[in-house]
Amino acid sequence: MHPYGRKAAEVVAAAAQLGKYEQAADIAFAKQQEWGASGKIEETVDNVLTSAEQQKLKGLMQSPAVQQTITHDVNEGKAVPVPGTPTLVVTYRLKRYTLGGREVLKYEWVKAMLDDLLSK
Amino acid sequence: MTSSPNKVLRITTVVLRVVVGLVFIYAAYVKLRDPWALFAMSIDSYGILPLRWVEFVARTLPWFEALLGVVLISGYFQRLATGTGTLLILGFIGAMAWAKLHGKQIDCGCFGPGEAIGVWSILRDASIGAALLFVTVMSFWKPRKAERAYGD
Repeated sequence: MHPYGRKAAEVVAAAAQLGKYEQAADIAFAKQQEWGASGKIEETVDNVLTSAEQQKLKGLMQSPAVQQTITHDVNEGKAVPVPGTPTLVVTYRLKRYTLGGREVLKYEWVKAMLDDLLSK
Repeated sequence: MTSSPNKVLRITTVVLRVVVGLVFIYAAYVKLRDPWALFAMSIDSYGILPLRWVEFVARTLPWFEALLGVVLISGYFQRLATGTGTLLILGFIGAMAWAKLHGKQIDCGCFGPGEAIGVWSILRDASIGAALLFVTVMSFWKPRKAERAYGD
């Protein structure tokens, strides 16, 4: 796991508690290169929050609700299992396909796979 | 009883040929039961073939493996089948070794998705290759032995 993966999850899940999940996830994704190296994910997400929300975020990060959300997601990822990022899980007619991780996740192949599944 | 070493060799050859044939059929089955694009992703991950060839190989290789497996088990066209199988396995081992040497953390794609390339997958394919090579050699060697036995 990425050294700042857990912290990033805590920040974004805490932002979700404030109703700012999309904004937080978007900026975390867009600036991954920066915070991925520096570890400053909190400061990155602060850009989409008000001052009051920034203060609340710090308190929410270690809250049981946020920690439970992350534990739930981690367990779900282990159950798949997710081999790496990015991973796309497609479920069709009770069968689950795990795409990506160690494979090349290209538009052509994902489209071809979905077309193939839907044609059956 | 004097022919027992030959008999053992013959039985070993048949057993290896059938086992390798079953392995090829199984490898084909696990690929064919999934959408072909899933196998295409595995092939594409190696970064060896251009996209057009990736699709062609993903669509045809499993059927070719199935056919090869059936032919190996049947015992027909032994030299052709075992020789082709040996070359195919050598190609797989070469591709895996190439990926490993280039530090690619990818799936082998040998028996469907989910198995990373590692020492185990290379050794397994090398064992299949060794078995096929043995069967190939035996398919060429056997007639000469027979000629020697009945020629005098």
